Amino acid sequence: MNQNSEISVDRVGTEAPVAMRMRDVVKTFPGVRALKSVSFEALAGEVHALVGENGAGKSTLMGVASGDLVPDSGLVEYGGFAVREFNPSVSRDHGIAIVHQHPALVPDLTVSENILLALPTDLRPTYRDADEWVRTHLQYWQVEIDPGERIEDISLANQHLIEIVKALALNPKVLILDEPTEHMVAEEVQLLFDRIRKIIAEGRTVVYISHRIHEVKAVADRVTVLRDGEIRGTFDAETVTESEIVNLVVGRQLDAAFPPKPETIDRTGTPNLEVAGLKGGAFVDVSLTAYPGEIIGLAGIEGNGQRAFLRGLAGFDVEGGHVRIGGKDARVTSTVEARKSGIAYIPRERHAEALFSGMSVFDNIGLMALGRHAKGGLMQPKRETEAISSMSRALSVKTPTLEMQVNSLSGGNQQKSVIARCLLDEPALLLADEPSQGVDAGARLEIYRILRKAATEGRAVIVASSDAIELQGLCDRVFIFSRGSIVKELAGEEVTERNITQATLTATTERARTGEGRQRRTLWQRALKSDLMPGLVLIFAMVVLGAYTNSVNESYLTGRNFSNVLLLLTALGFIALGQLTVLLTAGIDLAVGPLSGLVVVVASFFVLDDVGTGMLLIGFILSLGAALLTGFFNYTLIRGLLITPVIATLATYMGIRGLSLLLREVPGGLINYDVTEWLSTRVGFMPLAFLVLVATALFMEFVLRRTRLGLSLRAVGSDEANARKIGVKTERTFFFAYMICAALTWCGGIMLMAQIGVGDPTAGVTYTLMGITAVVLGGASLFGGRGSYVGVLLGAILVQQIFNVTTFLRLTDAWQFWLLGILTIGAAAFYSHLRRIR
Amino acid sequence: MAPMIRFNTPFGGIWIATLLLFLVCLVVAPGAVSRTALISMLPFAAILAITAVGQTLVVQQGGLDLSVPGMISLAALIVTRFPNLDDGLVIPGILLAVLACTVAGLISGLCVSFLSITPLVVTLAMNAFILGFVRWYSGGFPTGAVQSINQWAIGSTLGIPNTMVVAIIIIAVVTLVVKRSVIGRRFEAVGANSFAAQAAGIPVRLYVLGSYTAAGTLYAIAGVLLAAFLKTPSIFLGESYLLPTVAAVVLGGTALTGGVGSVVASAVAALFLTQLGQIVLSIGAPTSAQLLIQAATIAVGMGLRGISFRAVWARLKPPVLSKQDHT
Repeated sequence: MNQNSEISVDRVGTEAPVAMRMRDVVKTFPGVRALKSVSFEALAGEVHALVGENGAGKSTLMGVASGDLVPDSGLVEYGGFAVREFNPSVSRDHGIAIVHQHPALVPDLTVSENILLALPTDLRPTYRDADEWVRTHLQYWQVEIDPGERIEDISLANQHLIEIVKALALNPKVLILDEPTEHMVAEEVQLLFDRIRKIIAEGRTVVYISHRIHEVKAVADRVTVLRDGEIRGTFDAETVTESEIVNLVVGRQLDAAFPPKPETIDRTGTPNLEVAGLKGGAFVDVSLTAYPGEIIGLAGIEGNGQRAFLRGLAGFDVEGGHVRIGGKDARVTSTVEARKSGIAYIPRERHAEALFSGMSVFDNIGLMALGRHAKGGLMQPKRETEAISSMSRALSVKTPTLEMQVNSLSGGNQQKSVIARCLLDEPALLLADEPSQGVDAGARLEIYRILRKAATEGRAVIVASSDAIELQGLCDRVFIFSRGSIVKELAGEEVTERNITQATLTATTERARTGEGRQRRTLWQRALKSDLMPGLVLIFAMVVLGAYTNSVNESYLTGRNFSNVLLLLTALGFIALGQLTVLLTAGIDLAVGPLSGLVVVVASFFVLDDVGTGMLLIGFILSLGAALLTGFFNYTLIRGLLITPVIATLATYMGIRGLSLLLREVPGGLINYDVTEWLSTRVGFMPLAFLVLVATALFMEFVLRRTRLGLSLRAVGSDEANARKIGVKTERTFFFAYMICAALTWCGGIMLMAQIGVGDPTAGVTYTLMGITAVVLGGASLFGGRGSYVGVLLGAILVQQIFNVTTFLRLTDAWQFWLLGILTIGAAAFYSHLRRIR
Repeated sequence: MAPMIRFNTPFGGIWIATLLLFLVCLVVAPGAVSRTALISMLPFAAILAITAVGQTLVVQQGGLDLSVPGMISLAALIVTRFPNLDDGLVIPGILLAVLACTVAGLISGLCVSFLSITPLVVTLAMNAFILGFVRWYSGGFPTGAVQSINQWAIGSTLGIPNTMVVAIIIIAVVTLVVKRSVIGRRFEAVGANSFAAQAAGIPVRLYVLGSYTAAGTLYAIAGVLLAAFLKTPSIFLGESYLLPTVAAVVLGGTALTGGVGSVVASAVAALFLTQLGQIVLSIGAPTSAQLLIQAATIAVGMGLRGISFRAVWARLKPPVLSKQDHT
């Protein structure tokens, strides 16, 4: 089983030129040697498959090949060119393209916009042609994807197709596909294979990483097997047999001494766990029974429902079915119910779902069993300390003191703390998802011992693992999952690594085309999700409010009133547009209000009656300078010192208020009358400044939809990491966002100056909150990535209208606040509900 | 269990800063630490501390409460306007004020936890809503506080101002609940990692809801004390309280991302900020200087937290080879 090197004979001649060569590549991650001197060659015109278990080093090897990862040592050559600098763009320039297992796409941008951002200048379609480009390139795959649809509304399978289309568009010499068929249906797999054949017919190269041996046999010319960071041989795909590959892929000896399994298990008595017809998002109709003393294993290729089923038992996303524990009905409708039913869950993603970083080992272990060590709701420190100490001793959690922060422990001891937390609550059913992942060898054995002991004590224990050796050594029975259901059960002697691997690899895992993500939305649903929606809602609200007000008071709808409202609106309008720019990048600027006031104060020293034009200009320039400096200051605090935007701009908020008061303790400096008049110029009843505001909003809207800066603004707010991966210059984008915000706030400040006509140090402060209200009404997301300048302009108009109508309706001014409050909450709730409609 | 004050945690820094501040005062402006100066400063520090405790609870759940100004104004208004100088209605007035703010907090909490609206937007809107109510209920004019409650608020017990006594009791109770009760321990866990808390079977939403509700109650108490102490509170007296509460939480060391927090540290930070303001006033600097100094304090305090002293220390120290098991 483990005599591998003898059969690793290279059976293919090497007449074809080498497209990519890697020699003696070593790559270590903290504590792990991921690649131990690996040499690999891909020839021009061949499909070269890379096969291996999870963690064998396939993705690491291709990460190095594509410039994502820098190797510790070794050589990489692209068709004779030796790589010196490991950088994705260098690799891309040399014709290497990679399709990642997790698509590098920005969720809030549309398909077309993602393509526009990701492709290099010479291959990029124009904005006008982008939709057509996407449609043409997707035609081949026979799927209907609307190029205008946001990535987050597109199924994972289709996201992978888009990722492939993106890579193919680069016309690469070497195309690396990392598990491309994971989410594909049979027809798409066929299309992919046809396409691959066409690519190699052109003398280009495909490196194909996959778990699925029958696929590899079907498409590849050569197969290289990788295990534990070492090459185990390269074979001719036609002659090598499936079982030869399986042998090499696993071929490990049992390197761990597992605790002994019980000789026999009595399966006649009462089962301690009965699951009947359980179903959820990614699994259907799963039934199984477990008896005291046995450990149940779950296996399957990633994404076939084994993990989802385990989480279902823990109370996540269950849609139906029955669970009985120890003969009693158990509810798993929520994690809270599951815990009450005696279920404890050890999650796979330790940092995301199991550890309370920043809290002590003591607090981490004690959490689930708090109620057991309390009296009248108050903790009994002595009892709790005793229980936790003895549990951590029993599980040999190695920590200097229990007061240590849990993050400072090694992976193995962190995991033991998590298990200790579960066991302290005396669970009847213990669920473990990859219990030994990221754990050193010594701790791994202890974890196996702990799990076995829990089973011996009569608890039902279920382990999901992608490590077949672990399942063989630990479990009494193993269930194999495929497409969300159990397809095979292995028991007793059958529970061997080979059988498990064989069963998972050969399970028929072709997906059927499901309805998921493919049904076309109705026109109504599409309208609801569109960016125009908030604008339409706002216009409707304005019309209703206006009509009602006019029915009560006829002097409302007059040119004079209109004109006044629109002029007053300009200050708020510009400030709200500025705020939106920052919010798009997932930031916020609370200082815009006081900043607009500072602009007035600075100007009030220069823009006075009886001064020359030069002095007026100085006033405008200096106040603009003050605004831009503030923008730069905010940018530095947030991106340079990494202070959260809310806090950074709160500090700026206070600082600017102080500065304004320092410059003018009391209001003073009457603003030049002619300037004020000029700023309030009207064309008919329409103030010129309002027209400028509308033009600005339209222009910014154009920038947002049709320029690289606009796409970048939304991309960094939506997903900064992916934005960087596809080539967005993130720092520059953030810088521009804060500077544009400052410049627009300056415009608002100038209009404020015309309104109040005097340098008032407290002016403008309320505009921060009003601006945010306008932005929220305009439908922008406070999490970044989404919004519309036109929508925000309409939001600002509505806010100003509310302030105006209350006087016409002869309402107390309290109504201004109530309407504002209700509208803001209502709009936020409405929009957040809309976003959840799929 | 852990001692209250430890300097190696994020919450230790503010103790040192406050200590230094008072030492500097002794040297530079002894007038600012005289008995009379302290007696006039402490009630404001106490009221800010109570407000900061509420803000801390919300921040521990990863939120931020911008409805502080409204809440304080509302409580102050109800406790003065409802009795309307009638001594007999003081107790109902206090209860009504506390009830009103608690309900407002509950509504905010519902919007955040069950409607999934961003805390910033919810509390901003709640603030606007409450201020509208304050305008309407006050009719635009402030009412004076009842004599008895005012007497009590400016009085002291065993030489400690009564407002301070209330603050100390509140801080002690909240600390006891957060650090020593089942609810409190779960509360901190939810804030530290809500996904892990959910996986461990804790009803996450209820704890988020609870934090806003409890904060509302605390703001109400602060508002009542403030009204009683000032005798004739202006209608929108809460306005100046928002930024200092956030500053107190931040300087106290509770992370804005949520998780483990320290209401004691926030309260100490409130004392620090109030005393800082006193010094600035006592040397005759204008309000502007006070704002600038508060801003600089936040920026410097946050900037320092961004720097990992451990990393700096590790670089200065000679390397030690440690044997750890790997992940």
